[in-house]
Amino acid sequence: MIAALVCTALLFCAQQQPLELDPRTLPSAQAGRWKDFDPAKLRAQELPPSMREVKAALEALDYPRALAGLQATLTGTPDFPPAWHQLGVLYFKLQRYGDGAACLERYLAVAPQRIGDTRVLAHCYYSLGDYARARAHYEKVLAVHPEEVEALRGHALALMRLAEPSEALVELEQVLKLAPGHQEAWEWKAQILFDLEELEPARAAAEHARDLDPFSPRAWFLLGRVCADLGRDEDATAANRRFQELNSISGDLRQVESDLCYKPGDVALLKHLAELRARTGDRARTRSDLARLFSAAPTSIELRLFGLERLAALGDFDAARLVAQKLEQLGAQDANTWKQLEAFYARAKDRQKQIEAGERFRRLSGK
Amino acid sequence: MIFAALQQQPVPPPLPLFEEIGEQALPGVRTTCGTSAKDYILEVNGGGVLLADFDGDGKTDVVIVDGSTLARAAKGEPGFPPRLFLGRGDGTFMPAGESWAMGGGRFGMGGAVGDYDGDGWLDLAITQWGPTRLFHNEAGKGFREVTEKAGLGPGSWGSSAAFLDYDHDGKLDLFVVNYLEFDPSKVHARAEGLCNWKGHPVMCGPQGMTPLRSQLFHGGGDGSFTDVSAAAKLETAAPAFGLGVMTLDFDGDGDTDIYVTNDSTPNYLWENLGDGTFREVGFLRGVSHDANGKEQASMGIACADWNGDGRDDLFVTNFSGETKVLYASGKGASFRERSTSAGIAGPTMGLLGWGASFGDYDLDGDLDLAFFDGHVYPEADLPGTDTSYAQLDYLAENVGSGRFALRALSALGPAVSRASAQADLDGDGDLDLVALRIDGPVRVLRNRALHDAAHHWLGVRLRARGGNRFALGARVTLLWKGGSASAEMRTAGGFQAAVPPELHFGLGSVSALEKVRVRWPGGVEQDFEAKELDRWLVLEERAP
Repeated sequence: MIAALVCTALLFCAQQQPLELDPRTLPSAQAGRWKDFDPAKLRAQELPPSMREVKAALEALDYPRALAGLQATLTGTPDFPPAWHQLGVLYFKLQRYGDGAACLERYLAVAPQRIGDTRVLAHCYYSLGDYARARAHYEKVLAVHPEEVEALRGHALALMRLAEPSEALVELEQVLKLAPGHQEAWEWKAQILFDLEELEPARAAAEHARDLDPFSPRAWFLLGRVCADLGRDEDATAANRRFQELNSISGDLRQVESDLCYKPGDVALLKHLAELRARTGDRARTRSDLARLFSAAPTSIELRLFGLERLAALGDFDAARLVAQKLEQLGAQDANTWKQLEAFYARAKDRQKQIEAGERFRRLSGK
Repeated sequence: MIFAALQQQPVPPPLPLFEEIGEQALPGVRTTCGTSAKDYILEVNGGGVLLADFDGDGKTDVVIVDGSTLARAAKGEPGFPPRLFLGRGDGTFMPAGESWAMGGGRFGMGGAVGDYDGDGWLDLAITQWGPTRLFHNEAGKGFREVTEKAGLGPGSWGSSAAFLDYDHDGKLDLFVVNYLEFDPSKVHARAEGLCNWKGHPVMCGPQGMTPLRSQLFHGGGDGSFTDVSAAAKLETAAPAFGLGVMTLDFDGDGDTDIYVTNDSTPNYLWENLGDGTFREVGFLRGVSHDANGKEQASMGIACADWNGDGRDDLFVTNFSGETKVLYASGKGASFRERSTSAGIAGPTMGLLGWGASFGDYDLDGDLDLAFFDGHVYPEADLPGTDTSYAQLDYLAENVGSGRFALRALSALGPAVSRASAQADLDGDGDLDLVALRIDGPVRVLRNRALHDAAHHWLGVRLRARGGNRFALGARVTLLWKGGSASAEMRTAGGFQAAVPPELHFGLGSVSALEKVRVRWPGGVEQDFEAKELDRWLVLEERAP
């Protein structure tokens, strides 16, 4: 029976593109069907098979496939609460906030006892500009989980947007007490203090945010604005210069990341993402983006060589050596690979490996 | 489909203020901007609205700048010409005669109004996809195209423009905002599916296209202009996707600065250094990005002294998913974003805004805002966009304490609006509006504000000595017992629009003024008596 339903669902989804489906049109279950739903008691065998596909798609950051799987699940198993929840979160990631809110509202309608899971619903309201509703919903979530950091942060922002900056600051302090390294919270703190004309505390908060993430354009932006108002024009200009450097890249990064939501395996986009990231100088995120690129094209020598060069240029020789090791396997019979490796090992001052790579290059190229 | 946030927060009905009279005022007048599919970015900006009294009869006239289609352009056919309609003085217009006819250019956008030769008659610059055009007003009898002599080329795609006298030489100069390089043979069409927005294929741009620098043309006073962009140091900032322009003396030093809104790139504030050069200070003054440090896709600009500190504030309309931004003048010459505390940020999140203006529409003595909206993508009506193609236009009513209450501007309902401009079209002392709907009829919104003891007003027109006859850049301050209000003379209308060189003050229950103070361009101050309110004054600069 379940198999038949899933087939129906997959057929349904095959007929309509997942991005064109309005989640409000998905079928409803009988009233009360999920009233006692508790994810802790959900056994693996009770999961609709399509949810396994969803899990795999999400792990691969393949959002369109995950969307199709969740829509299929909800067609085959109407109102299955984990699917509504996941679908709401997914729409939020895709910046389709109205759809996200609709899914999470539906989740709460079928499983009202799960309100503590729904801070993303408040994020959706906030992103739609409905700050009063966002605030009210954050408060409901916080009533269940009073120390949930992201709900506290969201609550603070909603308060700020509702022109209650002092209350927002109190809430941000609570975030920072629970998570002292919460970089974004430091940025918001700096901004609110700046708006309140408390310039020196704002500067301290902006500097702290910048120290936590020196690649965040916003931290530099805030620092520049505060310094400009403090009359420290040189500091302001320097901060602005760094902001402009990072921001010119971050706009493109946002665009590529957004495009990747819809084309998750697009190798050209992934390469562009890694390229842009490397230009920011952010080693950790460059590693992560390169890992994603290599995962999309696991046998590509060309892309590994690209990664090797970018990591070496960043001075990240630990990560570059791992790429070089993989290249030694993938390009074992490719003379150009060994030529590049010879150059890399010379740059990394690994004399032994440099000699070995050089010998392999000469042997394979007949030189 | 109205986007989700507005479904949840019903928009209050309009005040009984603006009546849509477009069908009577400009019957059958429509504009064209490409095809309705909007395959290319050239097809989305719409045309322009330029208001002024061109024939000198004391009634406001309107020039509607029309576009074209790519098919016409490909065949080498001219675009649809800009058209002048003469005001009857009751809010309606009639087509001007043959002597006012302007030929079709390439693909019209907006323009500027100013008396560039100081003959006392307001002339026209028309921006387009192509070089900017210039029309001379022949003593109120007609327009004569003088583009060839003007020297306003080269031009690729001018969006908005403004006349100003940046160097106080008494000869008007022209600032042209340019958008991007557009070559249809090199741009991907929407149907190719290469450009996506929220998962839907849409027309491409501006990302991935080549932005352009603005141009400053120094006026010779005789209809000739010289491109001084490089000498003025406009090349010190990166090219950007320019869309709107406003002239203002933001730092109160007596010369005219320039604010430019850019699409998807930081907005620019060009500080006039008084020596013929400008310095870009958008970031330092806090008007380049939103409060989060994110550049927005900015279009329209409203400018007026909303917070009453004697310096003008800025209101900027942006893309959907971004809030509209209110930059309030603060200490020094800086601005602070006050959209949130003003109550504007959240409710405007789903709107894509264009024309905008400050005005005391209800004559209660404080400045309100009017803004016009409509998406660029027809695909905005597809699922999951959180917005819609047709959108409501808004009146943000000033309710005091630095806050606005948003209402529908009129009873029209959602429309795909673009440029707008305001003036007292029917001579009753309140501000009316003209706005374009893309590929649709021209809208005229007649203001029916109350006129009684609690709703006074005063209008001011200036006549300066020298070539800058309409005193662009002058500042007028009304002083009364316990209060004051001030405004700067300009014709810049923000996005592809121009307004008449006149100032309108709503005074509410203020029933008498102590004086009207004018700081003329160049800095000389002169006081005038204003014994009676509720009328238009014409103030002349005294001889030295």
